[in-house]
Amino acid sequence: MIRFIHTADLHLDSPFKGMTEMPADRLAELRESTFAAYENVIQYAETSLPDFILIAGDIYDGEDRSLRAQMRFVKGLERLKQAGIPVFISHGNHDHLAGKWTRFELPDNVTVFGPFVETVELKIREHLVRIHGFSYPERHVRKPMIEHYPIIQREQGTLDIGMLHGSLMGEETHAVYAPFTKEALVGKGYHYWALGHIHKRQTILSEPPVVYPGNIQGRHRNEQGVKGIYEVELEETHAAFKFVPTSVLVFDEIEVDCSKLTHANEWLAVCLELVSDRIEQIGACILSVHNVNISEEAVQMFASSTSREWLEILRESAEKDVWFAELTFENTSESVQLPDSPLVRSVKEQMVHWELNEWKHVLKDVYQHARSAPYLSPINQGMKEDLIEEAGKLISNELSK
Amino acid sequence: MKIERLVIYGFGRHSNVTIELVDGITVFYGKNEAGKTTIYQFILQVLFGFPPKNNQQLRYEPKSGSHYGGKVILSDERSGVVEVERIRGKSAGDVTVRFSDGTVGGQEELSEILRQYDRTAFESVFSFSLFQLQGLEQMDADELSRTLLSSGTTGIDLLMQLEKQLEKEKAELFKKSGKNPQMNVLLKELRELEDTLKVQRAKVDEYEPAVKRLEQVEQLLRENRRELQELQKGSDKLKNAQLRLPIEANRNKLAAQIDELDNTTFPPNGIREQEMLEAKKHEAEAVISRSTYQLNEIRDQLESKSQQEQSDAVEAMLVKESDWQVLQQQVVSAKADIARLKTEQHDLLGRLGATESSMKETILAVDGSVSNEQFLHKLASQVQQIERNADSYQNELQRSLELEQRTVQQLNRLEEQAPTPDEQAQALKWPSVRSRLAEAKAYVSFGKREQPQNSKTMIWMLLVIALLLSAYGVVQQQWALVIIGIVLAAVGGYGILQKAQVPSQTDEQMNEMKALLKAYEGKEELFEEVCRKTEEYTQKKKRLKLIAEEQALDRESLQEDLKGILTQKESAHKELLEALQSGGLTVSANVEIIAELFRMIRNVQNTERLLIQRGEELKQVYEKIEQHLSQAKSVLGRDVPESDLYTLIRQEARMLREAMLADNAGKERMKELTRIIQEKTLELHSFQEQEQQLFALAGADDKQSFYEAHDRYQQLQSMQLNLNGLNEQLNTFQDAEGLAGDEEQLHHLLSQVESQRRDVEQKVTDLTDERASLLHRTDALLTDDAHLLTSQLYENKKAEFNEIAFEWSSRQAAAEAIRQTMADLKDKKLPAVLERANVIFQQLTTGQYDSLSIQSDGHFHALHKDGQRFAIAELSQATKEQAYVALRLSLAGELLEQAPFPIIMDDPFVHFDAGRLSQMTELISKLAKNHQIIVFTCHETLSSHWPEAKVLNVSNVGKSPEGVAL
Repeated sequence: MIRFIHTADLHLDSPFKGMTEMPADRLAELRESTFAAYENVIQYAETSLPDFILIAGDIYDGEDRSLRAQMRFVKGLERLKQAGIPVFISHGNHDHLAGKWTRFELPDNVTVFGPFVETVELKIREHLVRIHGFSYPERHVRKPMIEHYPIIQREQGTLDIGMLHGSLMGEETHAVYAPFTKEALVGKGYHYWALGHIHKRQTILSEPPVVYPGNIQGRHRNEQGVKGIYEVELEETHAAFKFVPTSVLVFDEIEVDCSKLTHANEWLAVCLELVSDRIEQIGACILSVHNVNISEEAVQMFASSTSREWLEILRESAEKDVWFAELTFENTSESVQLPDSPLVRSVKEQMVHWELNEWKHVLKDVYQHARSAPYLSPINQGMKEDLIEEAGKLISNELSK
Repeated sequence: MKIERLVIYGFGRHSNVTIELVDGITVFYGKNEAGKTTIYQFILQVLFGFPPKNNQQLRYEPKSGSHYGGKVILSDERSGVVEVERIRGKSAGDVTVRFSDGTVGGQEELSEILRQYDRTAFESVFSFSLFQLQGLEQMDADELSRTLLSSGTTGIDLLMQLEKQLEKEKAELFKKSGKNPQMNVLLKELRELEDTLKVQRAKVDEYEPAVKRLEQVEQLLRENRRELQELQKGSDKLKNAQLRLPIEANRNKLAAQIDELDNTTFPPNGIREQEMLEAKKHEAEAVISRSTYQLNEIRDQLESKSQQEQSDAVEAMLVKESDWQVLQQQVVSAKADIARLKTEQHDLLGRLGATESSMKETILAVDGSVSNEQFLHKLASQVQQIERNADSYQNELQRSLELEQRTVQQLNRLEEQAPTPDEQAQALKWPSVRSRLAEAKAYVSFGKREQPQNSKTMIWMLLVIALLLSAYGVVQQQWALVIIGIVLAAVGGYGILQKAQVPSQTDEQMNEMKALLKAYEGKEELFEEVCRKTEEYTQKKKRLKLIAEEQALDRESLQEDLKGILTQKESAHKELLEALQSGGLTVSANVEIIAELFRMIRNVQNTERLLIQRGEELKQVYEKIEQHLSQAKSVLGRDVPESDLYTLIRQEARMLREAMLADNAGKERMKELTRIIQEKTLELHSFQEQEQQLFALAGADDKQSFYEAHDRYQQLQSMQLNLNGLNEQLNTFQDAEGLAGDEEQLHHLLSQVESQRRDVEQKVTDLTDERASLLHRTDALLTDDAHLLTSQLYENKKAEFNEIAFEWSSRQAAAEAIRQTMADLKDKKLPAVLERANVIFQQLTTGQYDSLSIQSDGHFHALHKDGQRFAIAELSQATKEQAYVALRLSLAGELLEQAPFPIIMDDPFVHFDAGRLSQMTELISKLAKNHQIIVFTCHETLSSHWPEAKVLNVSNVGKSPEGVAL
């Protein structure tokens, strides 16, 4: 049996996206969290002393990686060297080999895969371990690199591990890199596939294990939940993996039942109680607060201030180790009670019938504007729906006054 | 949809009314005030809710107290027969919807049945009244057009407002070429952040070259340092060579000098040895000279004299010492006797009163016989007798004096006890007072009337009584009574005087009397006592005075007797003194002293004899002492005080004995000294020989040349040392040994090397500085997190930008949707409505007008059949109304499928002429095929136009439970 740590997508020192209104000091704290998570990885390795560590790409966030980030990464590797732990790195799309950034010399316990698929062998006790992998030679690798991985015949005493930074073919929610199919992976005959790129922790297959460990620290409110690494115990016929949390700050959501609330302080108290429970469970966190079952009184209560103000009230009263990212309200039944007039309905229907092109046309002033377009995420289905809802609300609210 | 039945529980004037409506046309006819509008409102309010309180619309709550509200029974194509009940509850009323299948619903179901139409929307299409048509008159063309349009397309006005508002909001968020809208601001910030990021990223790019350069610099530094070391070595060597030059010269010179002095020898420790010998020589010489001197001295002493004779004489004197002592004692005892005798004599003389020497002579000459003594003794006894007599008289006199004194004391004591002057005065006054008092009492008791007369009578009576009393007192020897009588008489006298003086003062007198009574009332006894005491005192005093006089007489006789005796005594005394003086004795003496006096005189005479004898003896002793002294003087050769004589003699003897002993010791010493002198002389010789040998070793003849040789030797030694030192110095610069050349050459070489060294040093400094700055820079770059913060800020701004962009997008989408809807309305729905309206309008105006159309400015125009166009405002009132009705009805027709509601009209045709009215009714009859029509009118005639219609007389409503058909 061998034991190793599988991690990926460290995204050290990457800026946190979508955090508005956070004060500078808290941002700095937030920013530090990727390092803290990395520190957790290193510390865990130092105590558990695995046979080796796999890093399946995206150590840094991008080309403008900071020297500080690299220095801290290297320092961590040096500590692993002190502990006698070999490290295998296959770079991904965010830290590809073509970058013209300064490269720090890595300690000699570190093996970095080259731009072509290659195999590194190492002897661990009675096992011969063969690790297959490659590093992204450039930013975009859209070809299915899986083709280049050698097919092996399983041999007694030999364990094969594939490292691959990429996404499952047909998975459209993420940018497609080095696409592969499950069949292709299984076809290689390896004992373990150490994947990277997708930030959500998931096991795609269990036999052989094909695993995304997810990133080590959530960086966006869409990257919810506790993040960490996998510690894998691998045998020829069996694999066991244990999740080790590393994130120091967890993005999460709480649901506030507003069915019995009539006063702002009640709501605040309920929120804070939920928050402190949550902190107890997962530690410091960044929360989205979702209000559900909103009673008629609660509707009136919420109507007394803008949702931005409610969010600010929440932020002001909360503890230091929580930040409220957003505040949302469940669609109130009130609006169902006051149905749209025929005209309003026809107005809303207009939007529903718009095709993507029409949307683009409608929003061209901003979305096609040479200045602003580069900063905006492209219009997609989800956004269309959100816009229809938001615009519908604008019309309904205005006309039902 | 049709309204089948109205059930009014209580609404305005109506209560408990059920009204059945028909398909087609139902006409509610009634006079003014009959309650038409109430029913009209009932329908609308049950369907769409009671108006809120304080609203301008009436609530029609029943005054009668019956239940507020009622039911509207509808039959709908979609829902079947539905009962809509609205009763009092929340402000809009509580609504219940009952379906024919038994299900019950509320507002939600009702809204569904009403196709989400609210009252405004309903009224704007399906219900119109004269009021609304009349209102048209006041509107200007613009408003009219909009009203026509908006009334046909519910809420469009609001939508248009909303669109404008959204556009405004959008403009606050973003403008294509704006600066201030939020997104523009953010865009600017984002661009700036990008620039900052670029700069920061470029800074990061400096890192690698910096690190490379750092390595290079390190290498260069190492090389340069090595070179510098070499140069330093060369420089040091040259400097040493420079230093060597003068040292070498010195060494050579010194070596030559040493060579010259090389033959000089000197015994080791020569000087010390010489000095030692010298010292020994001196010591020996000193011993010799000292010994010789001592020898001579002793010899001189011994030669001086022999003292044997004197010694013998002194010894002889010493033998006589005891004789001397005896003589001394004799002197002392004789002197002591003389002194004692003198004292005794002096004492006796003192006692005898012979203080002067002449008196001493007298005493020595006194006759000390016994007969003389007896004579004197007799005289003295006489004197003594007389004196004793005098004493007894003296005592008698003393006693009589004491008696007299005691009497005087008694008198004084009595005087002390005497009544006070006040008491005496009172005692004196009392008798008169007592009489006055009695008078007063009588006066007072007699009263005023008879007063003057009475008082006079009383006085006279008083005098009579006084006389009687006095007479009786004298006869009976009762002195007190006599006094009282006198007093009374006095009082009476006084009273007569007073009365004579102040006869008119009776009133005052009365007062006075009363005062008197008051003052003395109860004190009479006291005054009586005082009088008695005074009397007693006077008598006692008289008696004592008599006794005192007797005693004085006694005393005087005694004094006479004493005087006689004293004279006797004086004469006896005189006799005695004379006898004494005749015997040579000056002292006064009495009987006892006479014997003693004679004894003392005899003693004095005796001591005088003894004194003379002792004086003789002393003189002899002194002579012997003088002999002794002169003998001692001759022996000792000097004057000797008498007191220290033998002390000195003994001293002299001791001295002489010691001198003898010293002479003997001196002889011994002389022998010793002679021996020492011989020894030391031998030693001296040997030292001199040794010294000569030493000189020979140094090749010197005498001491001076010996020392010169030593100096030379010393010089040589020090030069040798110097030479060694120089050699050592040269050794330290051994590295420069090979370097030849003179001063100038060396200097030249050195300056060359130095300048090279400075160059390299400068290089090292520069490189070190560069390295420090590189280290600092790379370090700063490594720890710099400005870039991180900027990128985070950039991300934040981007997120914010996206959020606002979303806000903008939602507004843009909403506005666009509204615009498109509006466009749709204008382009598709409105033409259809207009087409339908044109047909109606043409019909209503009996072909006078062709059509209605919307102009580019958005206004309606009516096209006259002759081709003229009129703005709506230009039309006649009726035509205006017809245009309006046409539009309304066409709208209702157009909406038939979506909203098949009844058309409710409240007397809308009053301005129509007969022709047009019939056109209108005809049109409505046609419409009634598709729509339920409910008409409220006060014109009886109208119903006749619709024979098929159900006509209800509102005045009768409520009177019959079923409603009343006309």
